[in-house]
Amino acid sequence: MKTNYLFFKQIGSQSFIATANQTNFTLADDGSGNFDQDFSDGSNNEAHVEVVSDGVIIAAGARTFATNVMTITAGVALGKVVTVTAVPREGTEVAFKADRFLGVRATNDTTTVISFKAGDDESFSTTNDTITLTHASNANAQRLIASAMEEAINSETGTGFVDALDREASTGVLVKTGLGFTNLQLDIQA
Amino acid sequence: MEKYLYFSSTTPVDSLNDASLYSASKMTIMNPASATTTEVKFTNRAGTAVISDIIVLTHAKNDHKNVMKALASLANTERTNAPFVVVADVENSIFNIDGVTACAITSAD
Repeated sequence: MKTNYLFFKQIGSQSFIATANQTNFTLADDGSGNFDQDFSDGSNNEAHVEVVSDGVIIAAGARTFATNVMTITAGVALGKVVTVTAVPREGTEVAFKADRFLGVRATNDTTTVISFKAGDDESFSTTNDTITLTHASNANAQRLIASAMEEAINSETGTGFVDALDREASTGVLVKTGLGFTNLQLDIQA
Repeated sequence: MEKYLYFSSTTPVDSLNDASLYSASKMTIMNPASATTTEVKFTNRAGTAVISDIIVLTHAKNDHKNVMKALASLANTERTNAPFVVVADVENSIFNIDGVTACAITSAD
């Protein structure tokens, strides 16, 4: 009994070239460019990013966050490259079993929610797992997404692994819709 | 033909949750647990509604997508007629996913 697994992944990396003794670095978060994570959300705090300056990891205790502004206490020397990368965890990427797909629903012209039966739930008694996509306004957006999901669910692959939307790699069946996705939020039940 | 996925987490296998076998069709979701681990949830054997059995595979940093792809492939493999598929067998040092080096098993019952 072959079943596809549908892969979704957020985007989550940003690099800076430091100005002289730069301490504050503003992250393009919550779908504004480099991160789908929203750093104003306390659960997305500094423990969930890795910061590397000139090849050396900056420990969590040596930096702080205020919404989407990261402060490196000691400062970074002129010209050094600082790279901030999301640390993978539940909610940054996922592979859903295709036969647990429940549906696609429009929230508005630029937001669409894809639902799966929660991975930890054999009943329908708890909240479902969801993917919330932000995309360009298009009269056919929801139809394009729904059609792409159908294609992903029923696609014939050798592995059963289907790249639905990998925002990091800009790959996946949904990319072919041309909708220009700008945010992907995963809500996975524990 | 249904595939069955085998895991062992230690050697020797002589205690609760040291080894488990799941029907591939009961594998519901895969997601990262940390930079170097991927958790795989199965419908639990206890029959309770909202708690899963969880396998945690340890692997190279940020290699989750490859691990998920390989596990999906093992669950759907048609390269063998054998329904018994070893995923990670620590007891016998067999890991059929590149980069996976350890396995932990948490059972709901």
